[in-house]
Amino acid sequence: MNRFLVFAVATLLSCGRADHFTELNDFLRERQMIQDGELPQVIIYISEKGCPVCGREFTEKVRPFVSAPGTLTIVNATGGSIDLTGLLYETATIRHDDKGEFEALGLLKNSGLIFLSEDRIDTVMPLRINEPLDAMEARLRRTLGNP
Amino acid sequence: MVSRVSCYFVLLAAALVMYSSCRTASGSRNVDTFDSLVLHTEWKFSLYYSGVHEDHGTGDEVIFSGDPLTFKTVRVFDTSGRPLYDIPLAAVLDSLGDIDGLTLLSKDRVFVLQNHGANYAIVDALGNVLEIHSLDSVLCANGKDLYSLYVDSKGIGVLGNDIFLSASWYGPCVDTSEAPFDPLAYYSVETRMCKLARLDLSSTEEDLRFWGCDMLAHLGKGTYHTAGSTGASILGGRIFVSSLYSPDLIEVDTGTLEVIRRVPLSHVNGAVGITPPQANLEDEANDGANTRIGTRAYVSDMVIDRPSGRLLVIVPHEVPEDSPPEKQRASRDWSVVVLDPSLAIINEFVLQGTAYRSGAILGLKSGTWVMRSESGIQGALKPKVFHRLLIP
Repeated sequence: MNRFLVFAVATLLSCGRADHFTELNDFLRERQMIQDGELPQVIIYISEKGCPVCGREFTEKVRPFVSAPGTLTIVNATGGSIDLTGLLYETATIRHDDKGEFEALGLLKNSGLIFLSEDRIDTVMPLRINEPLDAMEARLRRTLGNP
Repeated sequence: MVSRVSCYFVLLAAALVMYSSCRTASGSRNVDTFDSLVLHTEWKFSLYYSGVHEDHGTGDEVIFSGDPLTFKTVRVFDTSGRPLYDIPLAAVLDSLGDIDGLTLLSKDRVFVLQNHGANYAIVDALGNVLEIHSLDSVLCANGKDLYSLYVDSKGIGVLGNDIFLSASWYGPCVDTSEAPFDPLAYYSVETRMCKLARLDLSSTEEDLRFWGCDMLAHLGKGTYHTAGSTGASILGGRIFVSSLYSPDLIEVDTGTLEVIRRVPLSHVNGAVGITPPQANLEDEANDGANTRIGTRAYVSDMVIDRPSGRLLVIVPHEVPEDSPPEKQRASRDWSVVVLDPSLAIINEFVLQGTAYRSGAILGLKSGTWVMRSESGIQGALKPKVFHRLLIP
């Protein structure tokens, strides 16, 4: 019985994970945020919600990576609390989400990182107040190499 | 007979509609779309870094709009929207690191507050840093409460040589790292939770007075202590205080800063102000206040309509917390509640957030100007178009 419960819970959790991935995948494709159908390794989400100072620090940490191969940077900001240098115009790897539709997926409420691996969501790293950004930066370097 | 009854019903319905629209007329008739003021900036208009400066000697007005983040510039305009000059902010950013807000003291002097407010600078029209002042020694009030300073959504208030800022309680002045410290107990017993600060620039020493103490409701639980967006509006030589958590508009004496009038405010949907909830996990993550600011009804700004002398209170309307992002925050409809000088409500009209931005209003001698909404980064890059409000 216990084994069945563990199996059921694990199945449910993995289903949830797959649903999130499917939604994300559909979102990126429907809005043509990815080119050639290839998913990025990392999604960098930059938003002005939450703690403004944290958002500024996060943006500075990720700025060297925003155009790196394997990255998709989604910007939901107007420059009210973060420096948009290098993010003002859309490119193949920098896309604007003015309506906040990405947030509606429920993966990230504020800024953060999403690591994808083999057609699944590997890790979601939300920006959290009072938490150092070093772990995020280190994970970016491990995944993308030095910018 | 039937048609006569129907006619009576139609007339009655029309009368009801006319009556109910007396106070809440559709906003479209309150905006003169033929009268435009255009400010050419490439950045979002934000009252933290923008406003109107009037030289009280000559009566001249200028409009300023700044961006210390991406373009690192303040642009000064005449009242027709003609750009006069740009003030670069690179030097003051080098000195202060991060800017919380700024305002013009004169056409060639800018007051700049550092983020978290430990220092401020005075900058000239060329961007040279003329003065830097540390407020470290005066951020401890009465030897007990340590505050930081910030600028709220209404921007920085100026009255003569006095600068009006918002204050956020940081904790006790004493170092609590060695001893067990219960912030809630300290908060409830010791602190007066002052929420505003007045900085006298004419003083040779740093002259900072904390006020608005015991005046307004506040959150308080766990380690999160804030009044949330309390600000002072300086209008026609009078000082008004409003807060995210206050159902009242408060007028204080310009000298003593004591309350001289407290008026409950309402708008078309009922009372304004948020009943202070207990701080929750979202507050700990700094999202609680953001959600409330984005979805609840409160006084977000005040302005005086110079031609009519009436006070205009800006109230964004409440929307459900689970509304999609595009229906929250600046996209919400908002009320302009019109008060006479005695603070009696005499009218109200509603503007659509998708048409006009509640957080971008300029009070000029020529009238009150409201900015057309723009969307996203591309909207922020475009010229800002203001239309004049027609105040009933």
